[in-house]
Amino acid sequence: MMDHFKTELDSLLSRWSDESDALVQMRNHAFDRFAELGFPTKKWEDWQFTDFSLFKKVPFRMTEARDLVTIGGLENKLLKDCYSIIIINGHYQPDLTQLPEGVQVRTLLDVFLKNELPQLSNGNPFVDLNTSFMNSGLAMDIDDNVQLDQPIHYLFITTGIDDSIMNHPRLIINVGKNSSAIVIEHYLSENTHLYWNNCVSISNQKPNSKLDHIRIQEDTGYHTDNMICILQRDAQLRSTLFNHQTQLYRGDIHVEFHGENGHANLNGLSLLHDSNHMDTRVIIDHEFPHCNSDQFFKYILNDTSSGVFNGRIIVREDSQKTDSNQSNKNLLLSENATMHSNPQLEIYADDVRCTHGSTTGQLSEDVLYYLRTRGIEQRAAQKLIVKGFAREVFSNVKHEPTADYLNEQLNEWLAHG
Amino acid sequence: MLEIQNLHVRVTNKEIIKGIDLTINSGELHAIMGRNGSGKSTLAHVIAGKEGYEIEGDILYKGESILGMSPDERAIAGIFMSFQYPVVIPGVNNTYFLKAALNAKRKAYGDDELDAMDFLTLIREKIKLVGMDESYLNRAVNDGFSGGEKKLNEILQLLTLEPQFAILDETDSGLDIDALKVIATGVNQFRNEDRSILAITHYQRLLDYMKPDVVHAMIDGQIVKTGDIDLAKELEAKGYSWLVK
Repeated sequence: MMDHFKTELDSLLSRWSDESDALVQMRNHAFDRFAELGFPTKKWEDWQFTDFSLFKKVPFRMTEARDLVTIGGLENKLLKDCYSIIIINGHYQPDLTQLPEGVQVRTLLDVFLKNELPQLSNGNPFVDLNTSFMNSGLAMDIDDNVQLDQPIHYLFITTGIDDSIMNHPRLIINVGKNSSAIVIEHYLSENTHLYWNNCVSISNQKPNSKLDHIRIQEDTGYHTDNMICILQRDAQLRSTLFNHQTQLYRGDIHVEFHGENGHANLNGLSLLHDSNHMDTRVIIDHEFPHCNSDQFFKYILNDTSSGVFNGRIIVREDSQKTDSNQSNKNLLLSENATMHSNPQLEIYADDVRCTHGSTTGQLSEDVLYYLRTRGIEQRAAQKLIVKGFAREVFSNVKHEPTADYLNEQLNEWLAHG
Repeated sequence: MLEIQNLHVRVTNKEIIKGIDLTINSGELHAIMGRNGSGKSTLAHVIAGKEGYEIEGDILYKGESILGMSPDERAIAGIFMSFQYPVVIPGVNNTYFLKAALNAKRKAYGDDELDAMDFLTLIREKIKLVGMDESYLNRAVNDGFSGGEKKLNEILQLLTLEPQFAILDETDSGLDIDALKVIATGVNQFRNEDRSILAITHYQRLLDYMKPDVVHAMIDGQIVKTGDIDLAKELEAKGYSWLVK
């Protein structure tokens, strides 16, 4: 299996022969780390409920220039009232990009040449794999003191390919001091063939910045991602994660406070049907005092789908006055669906407030009965409850076209179930 | 309107209702009084259509048996129950819920469904009748409502859905006297000669505000005495022991 990836890497390096030695070295080092780690196995803690051997069964190939296709009706796929950045089958489309003043987009090669590309290695093989194969990488730089009037919609489409491709996009979002922005990171697919996106996105928030990060993940194939969120002093992050349609999903979210008084609010909704499997791990690392974090993750599982949620809050010794809450609530719509939930706290400071809780259950018979005594028939009553359960997660999405889009997707999912 | 014929109800082999006959005519308000565990709430749920009961005997509504009907079919037919413990439905907006309920009924009767604007006009009128703040319309159903507010929300539903037969299951429990008066006012607005009410209660005080036509005393799954408002007063003064044979 490693041979396959090695061949793919060599072929990528020969295609992109103008890359600097340093970059090639970084790719090779990352690949060595990946080769050493391998794909996670059942013996790895925090990975045990997902079958990663599936990645070895399909010879995914890297996308190439020939995979760039033109898409009809692209404008219908864009969210209304947004600036846009479009990537098609891993190929960035600068011509289709619209950005406001105060925001620049650079390719990762530029970023790397300025020596700004951080060395990432945290024992996660998917991060190493992303580093070694990084393609379609972009950095979005939002200047200091910029208040964006509309969200930036980063749309990553996989479409029209009839063999199994893989992409390893890296997205860097730099938010300047005192700036505020809504960034929508959106993965969409029209492919019927199995494909794989292995993403790394890094948000780096300067002091007193506000980032509203909405990640709409609708890949139908395999999707792995690492989201790394860095908050400097007084920075505020509000993250809304929406996962649906994905056969196999693994997401790792890592929030780090690099200064005091940061606030991170993470909301997630995963909708699963058929044999979908979605696995999320969240680590919130409190290293500075007076920081707050809230996690609110929900799964709704139908058919034979399965879900995993691992959430860990770490409060380090000097992080006094930390306020951290974590909630994971899951709704099973089928007797054959399963959920593993494992909230964890690691606290090394004494003056802190931390809460965590997890519930997994079926639709409440009492609520169903109540609705039915009001004339709402069984099926409609079920939908009403599920919608209510799901919509709580969207309540923070203030951009109306985005909220409407999410609700439409939810309704469609409910109609399918 | 409602005719209960020799009703026996068992739950997991325990007999809760042991032979009840009861006829409620159009326009009448009947009160059933009884202690905890006498089977009052079971009777209410059996009429509303809750599943999980073994039932013998029959319940006729407008002359036809309803035992084969689901709770939603009974609701569409015009039966309503105000819950003793109204449930919380997180994330489901109160207005949205009420609109869905009203439109389900309108649809079943071939009436046009109300759109959001028309419904809002209607519900604003209704909410004034129970003296609730309009902010309750935008909150999730019963989420964070106090006990009294939940009961008011039940009466708001009663006034909005306009059933013909309403069961009030301990609608007075946990209410202070002011809240009780508001509830009674709401219920009295609802009353007319085409509508009937079955009010289940522990206490006589609710009945002071909505005069019942008939009062029944229920003990251990049976109606042991039937009378008028004086029976309610007697039960309040003397308790139930004197009725036990």
